[in-house]
Amino acid sequence: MNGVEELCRYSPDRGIDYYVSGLAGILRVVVGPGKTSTHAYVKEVRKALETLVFSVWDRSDEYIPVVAESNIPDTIHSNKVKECFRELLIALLRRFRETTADLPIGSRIRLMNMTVSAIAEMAKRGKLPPVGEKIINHVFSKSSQSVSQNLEGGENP
Amino acid sequence: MSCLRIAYELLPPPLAALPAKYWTSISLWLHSYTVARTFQEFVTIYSEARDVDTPSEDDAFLIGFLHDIGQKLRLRGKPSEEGLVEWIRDVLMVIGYTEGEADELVRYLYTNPAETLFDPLYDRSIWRLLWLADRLQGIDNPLAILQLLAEAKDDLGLELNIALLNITIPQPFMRTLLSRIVHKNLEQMTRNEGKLVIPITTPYGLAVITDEPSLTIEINWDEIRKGFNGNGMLDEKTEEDLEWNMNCCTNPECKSECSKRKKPSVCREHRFTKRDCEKGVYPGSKGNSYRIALIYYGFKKRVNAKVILPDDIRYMFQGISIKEVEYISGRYMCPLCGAKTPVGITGDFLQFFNTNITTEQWMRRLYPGSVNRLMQDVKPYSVDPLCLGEVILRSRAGYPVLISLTLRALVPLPVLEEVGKLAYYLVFQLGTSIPKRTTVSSLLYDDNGFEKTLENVANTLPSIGVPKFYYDAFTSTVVVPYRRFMQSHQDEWIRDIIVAGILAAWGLYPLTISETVPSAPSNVLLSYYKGRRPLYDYQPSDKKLGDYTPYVATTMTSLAELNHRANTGENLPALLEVLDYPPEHSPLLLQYTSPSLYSRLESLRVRIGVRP
Repeated sequence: MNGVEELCRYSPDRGIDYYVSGLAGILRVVVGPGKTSTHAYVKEVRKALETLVFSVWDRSDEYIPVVAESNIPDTIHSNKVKECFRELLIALLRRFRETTADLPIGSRIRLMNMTVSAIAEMAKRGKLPPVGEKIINHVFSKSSQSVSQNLEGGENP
Repeated sequence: MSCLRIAYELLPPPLAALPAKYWTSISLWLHSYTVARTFQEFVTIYSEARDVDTPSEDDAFLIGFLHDIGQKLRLRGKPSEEGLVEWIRDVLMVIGYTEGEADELVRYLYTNPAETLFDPLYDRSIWRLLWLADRLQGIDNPLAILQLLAEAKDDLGLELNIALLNITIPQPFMRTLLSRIVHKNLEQMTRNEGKLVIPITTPYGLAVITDEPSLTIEINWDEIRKGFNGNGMLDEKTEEDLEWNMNCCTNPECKSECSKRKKPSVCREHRFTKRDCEKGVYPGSKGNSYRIALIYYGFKKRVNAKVILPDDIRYMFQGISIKEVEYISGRYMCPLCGAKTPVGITGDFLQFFNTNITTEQWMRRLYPGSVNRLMQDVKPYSVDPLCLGEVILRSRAGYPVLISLTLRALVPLPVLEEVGKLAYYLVFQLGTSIPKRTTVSSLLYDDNGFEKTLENVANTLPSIGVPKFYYDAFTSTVVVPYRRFMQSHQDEWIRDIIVAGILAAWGLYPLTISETVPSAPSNVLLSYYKGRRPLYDYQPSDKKLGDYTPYVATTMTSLAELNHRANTGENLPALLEVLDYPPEHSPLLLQYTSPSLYSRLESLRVRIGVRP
């Protein structure tokens, strides 16, 4: 398994905060830091989580990969980044499903909103946690001069 | 550099909150600090008794502190994980150790002579002392120390005993005053009489390790009169008022004038009431409550008369006796403690000391309500003198809400006092600055503000004394009276949770926030009188949940930031919602409440090499 896959993939040892940090890291580079609207950062992640919670909760094993695949931001052009984003999103959804299975639906929805808000806040401003930095360094490693170059890094479709 | 500062440099908050034990909730920081200070104390005393090569005070502290940090942080036997080693080495060099000396000390991350009793640097007897300091943290029964001393006897070459001193009176503030007096007496024994005396607090009394075969303490009632700082339990104005009222009661003219419906102003100034002239109880005299108060607690205006206590109290002292006191069984029941007392005052007289008694504060076994109404059918009753003392001490404490730390693991008495000072500092450092987000975050580790905070802690702590905080040597409890009731219910929640979060992040738990001092040690991170919430209502000693404690503590602290964000116009859901999730969600909750604090905690964790 290569380094990128390992970093982005689901692992039972990792908490949900790991995937939140990873997604926030990628979104910071993709959208760019400091945007005023939080919506710009998390519209796809929010959609994915809402689909999981409201539509496919009982058949999540089957649908999580599909939900993740259909909620990758269009602004990501690199295959490598796309793959990492998808893996992180799958992992986030799986972990969310596992850790909130015993919570009442209201608490689950509120935690979903907090998760989305956490990703937006972390992507938007401040110092990224070490995991976020590490993932950025790996997936955008080919060219790190600027955001636009980063987006074109990796294999083109 | 002070020991406390070094300890926090080595294991900074919020990682200080990591748990150390499975059998009781004690933080890794407090465990390491306690072992370090105990070992330091043992080595100092032992070096006077035996001619052996001993580590210096600073080295003893560091060896004790590092003794099982490596093991507890799961690094033992994994030399490839160098984060912790680098971290400790860097800190040691910053505080003045050379590279060689630092390397020598860092070894103890991998070898624990407290278990092996062997290390080439010092004699086996020294490692036996470290073993003893460490093992004391593994028991809660004071008599189990005897077994440890018997095991250590051959290596140490010392015949040591245990003297159990205990006071089980039900008045917690009076117990703290008596603890202070006993502590002073024990210090004098060491200083003036050269006795080997090491007091260890336990939940079941004070165990004194000593070479004295039959150690007992005698207290004069006058020492109680002096109060915590030697100026008396009552303030000067109260004593003057009591004296004036007492004299007025014995002067028929004054009494009759002051008993009129429209009292002269001088009577009102001294808060005179006819009831308090007549309704007190004291054998062989009229019921002058003012006189009774001065007999027991007068210092500058003391009245010379016999100090009488209920007979029930006599058996609540073990190894400690109070001189010049007569014990008599009485027929009046005290509504606060239940003792049958021969001496007492009415419940209403307590208002003289600016205290209203409620069941929440005084009688936890009854439902909330007015004590007077509950007691209306129980007659005759009268508040006994020790409860009067309790009321006086509480009224002088000034704040009705208390934050308490109750420990089950054994802690030397001087360490309990230091912990009390630290708790007071943290609570009152915050008291004025909670709304300022930056100040709260500088109380947790980062590269800038934290150093300044540590410096302030080290400089301020020596000047803090009781009665700003209280410690009960007989139940291993520290109490800090810390706030008045606030206007908004939510403001109280937020403030209390932030304060508890800061204390927990600095390794001080299990905590109780309540109007009363807890009567039994708790294992829960925070027991809160306003309600239980899943985030803090768990035991840090729990094998599965304990590792989340730094995240939980930081999440609680970060309510300050979330509150600040809400106040500056950000559209956030209810602030207290984050308390509704169990500890395993705390990393995610922290990311939500304060991404910056989460990043700092994660960076620290990665740098030290602590595994998630």
